[in-house]
Amino acid sequence: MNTISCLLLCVALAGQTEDAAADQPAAPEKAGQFAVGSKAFTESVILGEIATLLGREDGYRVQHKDQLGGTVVVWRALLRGEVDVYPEYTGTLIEELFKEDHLQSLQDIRDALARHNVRMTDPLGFNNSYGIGMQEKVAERLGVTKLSDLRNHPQLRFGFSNEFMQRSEGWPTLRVNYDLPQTDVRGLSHDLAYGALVSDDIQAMDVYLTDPKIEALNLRVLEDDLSHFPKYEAVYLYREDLRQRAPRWVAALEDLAGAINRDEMVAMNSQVEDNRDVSEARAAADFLTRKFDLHPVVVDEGLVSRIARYTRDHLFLVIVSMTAAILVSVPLGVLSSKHTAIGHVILTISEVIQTIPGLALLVLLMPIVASIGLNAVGPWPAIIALFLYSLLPIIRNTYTGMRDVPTSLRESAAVLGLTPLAQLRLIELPMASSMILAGIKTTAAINVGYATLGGLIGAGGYGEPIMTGLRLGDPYLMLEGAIPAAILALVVKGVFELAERFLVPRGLRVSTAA
Amino acid sequence: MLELQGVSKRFGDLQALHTTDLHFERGKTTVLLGPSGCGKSTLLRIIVGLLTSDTGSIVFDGEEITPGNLIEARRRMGYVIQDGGLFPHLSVRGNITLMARHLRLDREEIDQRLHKLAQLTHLPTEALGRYPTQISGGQRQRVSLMRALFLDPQLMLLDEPMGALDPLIRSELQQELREIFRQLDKTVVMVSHDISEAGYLGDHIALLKSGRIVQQGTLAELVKNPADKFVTAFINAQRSPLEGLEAAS
Repeated sequence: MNTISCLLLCVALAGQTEDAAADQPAAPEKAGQFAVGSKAFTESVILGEIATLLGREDGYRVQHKDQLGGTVVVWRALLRGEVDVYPEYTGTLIEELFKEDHLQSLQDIRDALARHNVRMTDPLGFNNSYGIGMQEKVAERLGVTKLSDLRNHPQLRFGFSNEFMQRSEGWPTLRVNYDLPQTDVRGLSHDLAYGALVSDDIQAMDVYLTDPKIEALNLRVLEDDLSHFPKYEAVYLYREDLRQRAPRWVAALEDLAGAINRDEMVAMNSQVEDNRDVSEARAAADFLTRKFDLHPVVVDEGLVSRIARYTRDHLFLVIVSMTAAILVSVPLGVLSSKHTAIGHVILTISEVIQTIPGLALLVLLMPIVASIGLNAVGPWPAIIALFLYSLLPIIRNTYTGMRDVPTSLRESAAVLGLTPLAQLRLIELPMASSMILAGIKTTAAINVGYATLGGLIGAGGYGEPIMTGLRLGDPYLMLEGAIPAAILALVVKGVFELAERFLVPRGLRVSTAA
Repeated sequence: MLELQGVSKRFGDLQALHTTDLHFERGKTTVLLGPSGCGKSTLLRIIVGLLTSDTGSIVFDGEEITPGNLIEARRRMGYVIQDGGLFPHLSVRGNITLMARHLRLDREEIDQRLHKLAQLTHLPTEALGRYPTQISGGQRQRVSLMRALFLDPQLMLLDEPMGALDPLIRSELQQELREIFRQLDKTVVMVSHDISEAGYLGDHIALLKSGRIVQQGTLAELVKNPADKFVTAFINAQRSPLEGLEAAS
């Protein structure tokens, strides 16, 4: 995963680590309150969760400060006592945090850490180092099983992440150590490299050994027969004082040594990354249940933050689709009111669109969306569907509002010498504004409800818990989407009523009184 | 000033206006008079370009009105209709100054003109901030008149401007209109079905029937030398209130 970017950040800040005070007392937090830190990638968060849940199982009050940032940030948080424990990799300690010390063995690392009053568990059981991956069938055909074998195939094209192209253990030294002859080697983004590998544009790329994509894409990781890559064995670092403050927790962490093998870590990573609704905490808890028969209580993503996420996604669907619908519908409504024949065609088409069932429209749209290069699973099909559904009511209200402008006033505007465009802008649209806005208001409220359909196709929003709730037969989960959706519809309505005060001219709102 | 040459208009089977030539003299008020459906409003609407005549041409200030110069020509005309045609979403001030603001005239100039016209039409200053629905019918017509006069047009066109007003207000406004037109020396074309109004305001009257001009001249000429029985009948149709008294006794 992103060990590399964390390491890079570490390199940038490496000089500064030395001045970090080694033996600061634990931060003046409430007694009996502990914290775990983690870096900003899935594996680190999962390992952080495992430590957190173990602490809680032992009766300590532990908080997980997850995704704090890169190596240096979390390391320093540990030194300052802002966190008591965090997961780290031996390679990172050797290559980055203690780069100057040229450490060799685990004991060297322990000694170096001891100077900072930090202790390290034994390795947890897996190595998240670099590897070189090839498509299984390509490797099979060429008979390549180890890195040395690559020497015999100078024609192979390599695609490496930009970090790998530059790192000390990356391509520059790999090439030298293995005496590799390949010349067609390019740097590209890691995510693109998978695609290029699958389509055989490149035949080898850099991978992380616990990357779930290795299994998912059926990649062969070549054996590092010359031991070029340093090991990145996962460990926990914890503050020396934790042994007195939370002895049972430390014992539990130490007991994790050798308990997580590569396959288990890959499985957890893939569980979280491939399923929107499996949190890191859930994956960690499941692991502890399987492995140690522990049954930690996992409060998945807090209700508030979860609803905040649904709301953000939902608003995205609604705002983008409504904005586009307004920009298209109002001019179409005006056009319809001016040219009866065109208007008939426009209104008929938008009525027909309205009759297409929501799910059918989404399914119809997915290949179309994919064909224009957008992700078919995600918000875009939903946004386009919502856009299409929003056309008719806005067009119709604009049409009616424009038609309702009395002929005498239309004529008065013309006779004053206003150009047609000025008549539209100064007279007709302001007079129709109330009707147009009413159409938009109603449409927006309906749109908020319709947007829950997005849950069917991974567009996010309130539809997500509703659909999951339906799937799991969990009415509570459905209410998590349904209630905020109803509230949002009311809020949207309120916002438009407020907008009327600014957009509808005052003269159209005053009571008729001489 | 304004010349209609061979203008005619047909709506389906109805010949609303037969081929008509008409000359409007500068600085004079001409009243197009006649019963409902005689074609007087059609004639006015052709002048202002709301209707296109089937034949003939309109020459305004020495220039034929064409689709190309219509908008520009309209800006030199003022037009007042029966219910005022005020825009409900604009305040009285907004209605009156709409075109001036649209043409980006100097704000101070606009303000001065506004107050001068308010004085001229006896519109109370406080009415300027109100909305059309908040003022009386008589005030609405004053506002409509101010709006028409704002850019100081050469030609004023009025389509039964007092048709919807009660008699007291109407008579008051008629008097004011006469003063205003004399004072400003405007060329005025007004449509009316009321011969006393026509006689009071018009320097010249054109009496229409079924799309034709039956007779034109001053009220005195029409009364003294009616062209046919219709003219006599139309003049006599106007009852004096005293008639009612006589009938009752």
